[in-house]
Amino acid sequence: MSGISDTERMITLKTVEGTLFDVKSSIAKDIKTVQAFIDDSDDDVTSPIPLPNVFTRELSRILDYLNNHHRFRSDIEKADEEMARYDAEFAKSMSHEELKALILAANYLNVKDLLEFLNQTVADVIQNKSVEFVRNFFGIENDYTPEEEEKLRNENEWAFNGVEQD
Amino acid sequence: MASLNKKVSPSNVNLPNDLVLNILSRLPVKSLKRFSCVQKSWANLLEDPHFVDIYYENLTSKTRDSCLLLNQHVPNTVESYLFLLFGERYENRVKFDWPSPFHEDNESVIVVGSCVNGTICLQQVSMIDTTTSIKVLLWTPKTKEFKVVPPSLTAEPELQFQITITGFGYDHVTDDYKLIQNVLVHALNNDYAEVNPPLPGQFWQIYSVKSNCWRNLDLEMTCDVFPQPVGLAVYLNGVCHWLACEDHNQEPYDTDVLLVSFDMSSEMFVTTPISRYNHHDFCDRYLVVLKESVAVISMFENNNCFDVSILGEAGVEESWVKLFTVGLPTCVDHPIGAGKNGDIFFRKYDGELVWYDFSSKTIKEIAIKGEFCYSQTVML
Repeated sequence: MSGISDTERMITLKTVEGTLFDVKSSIAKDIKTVQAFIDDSDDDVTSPIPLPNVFTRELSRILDYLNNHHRFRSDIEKADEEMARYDAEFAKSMSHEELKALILAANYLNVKDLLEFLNQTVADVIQNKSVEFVRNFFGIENDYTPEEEEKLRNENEWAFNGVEQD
Repeated sequence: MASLNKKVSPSNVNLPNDLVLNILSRLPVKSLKRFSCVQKSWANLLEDPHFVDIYYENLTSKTRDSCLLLNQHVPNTVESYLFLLFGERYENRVKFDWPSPFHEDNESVIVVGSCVNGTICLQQVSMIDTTTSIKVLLWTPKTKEFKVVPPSLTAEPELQFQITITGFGYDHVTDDYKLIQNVLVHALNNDYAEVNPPLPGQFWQIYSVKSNCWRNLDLEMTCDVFPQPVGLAVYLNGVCHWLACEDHNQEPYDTDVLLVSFDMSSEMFVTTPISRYNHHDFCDRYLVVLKESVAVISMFENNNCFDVSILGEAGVEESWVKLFTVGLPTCVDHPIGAGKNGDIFFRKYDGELVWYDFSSKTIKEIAIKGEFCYSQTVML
């Protein structure tokens, strides 16, 4: 690839567990929360930037995603195809709990594209699922009485055709 | 940006409400209706204006950024123009050449339905004496390739055929492109019925590109197709949808409008009634596709407004969901198609074309004039 990486400034990020990650400043630009921190600092940021809400597993996934997307974008020819394949694998590699944890981290770090992608991934997961699955997925208490719920289900009976097994 | 005040363990996570709503805004109407049973605050999401705003934004495509604008009026000529429109505010326009069969005469050419994998169906209907002549072309603007569709009927001296192509779509089972058309048969001479067997009245035909021929199709459809074609047909995921009316032999303003959804593979259809608001408020309907949904734009003449409803499931009347109503200046006549980001193009009574910018909720000019009946926009 290019020689920019040799001279490019590095930023160090620190997760909740204390793990340090060195990140190129071009990658850090996509992490808006980190970029805002850098912009707000008067001097060059040399000490690690603490990320009090981000765990190692999530940060490592986010950096993996950003690094790969940067790499794809440098090769316009195959970018769309490879990116789609990578994204599909990326989404598949996580459990539902891991997916939600990553959404929280992407939201906190304000990584727009990734957050969009993850939200869409969840939408695709739940689209054809049952009401119970969705309650479970989002940790929602049912606040309907059985009669109320029964009535609403009858009113929207057509929407219950073709629901996938949980 | 929502920031989190407490530390969360990555093994047992609940998402904050704004993120959950963002996820829900990406779901089809059918899922949202089902999930109205999850909890009370989800019961009426599609009636919440804030949610509808993000819902509509997600419904509409951000990636496709060009659309084709047809049949632009040129004063004092019969020639019409094609433009490719693109750019943030449709400010870039490139004049496009008609495919060669329409070089000489391109009056009243229209696109049937929507673009199917980059290809559109152009049709031109003209009347010569009592004979309707119809020229049909499948055209891929990007490659400039086209295919002339052969005629489906041979002229009969005592009969008049009125042909309406109602759909152009893709059959994924046979990997084939198909057209479906309605043929109305009229006897030109009143004595005809006395000497001949009764006329079929109307029948249906289907064309496939692979076979390159038309065949008759047995469809028990009692509703009537509308003769004017712009904005009345769309294609989405293997299904052609068009508007039709229930034949009650009533005043034309008093008919019930139906959506016909015809599956290009199974060659079966279902109909979905489109509910009327009330009898005195006459409205015009236009079909558009918004990403993965069929949508109906209803224009209300009396109160100068339009609304947008999307279909949850073909065949289920109660699955129509009205998203919003927008007031319009009195000079706006009718919609001519949808653009990117859910923008909707309209023609004004004076011929000027405008678009409704959904993000700023304002009407904007594009400084092009459109023909009365035939002006339309198609997303490529």
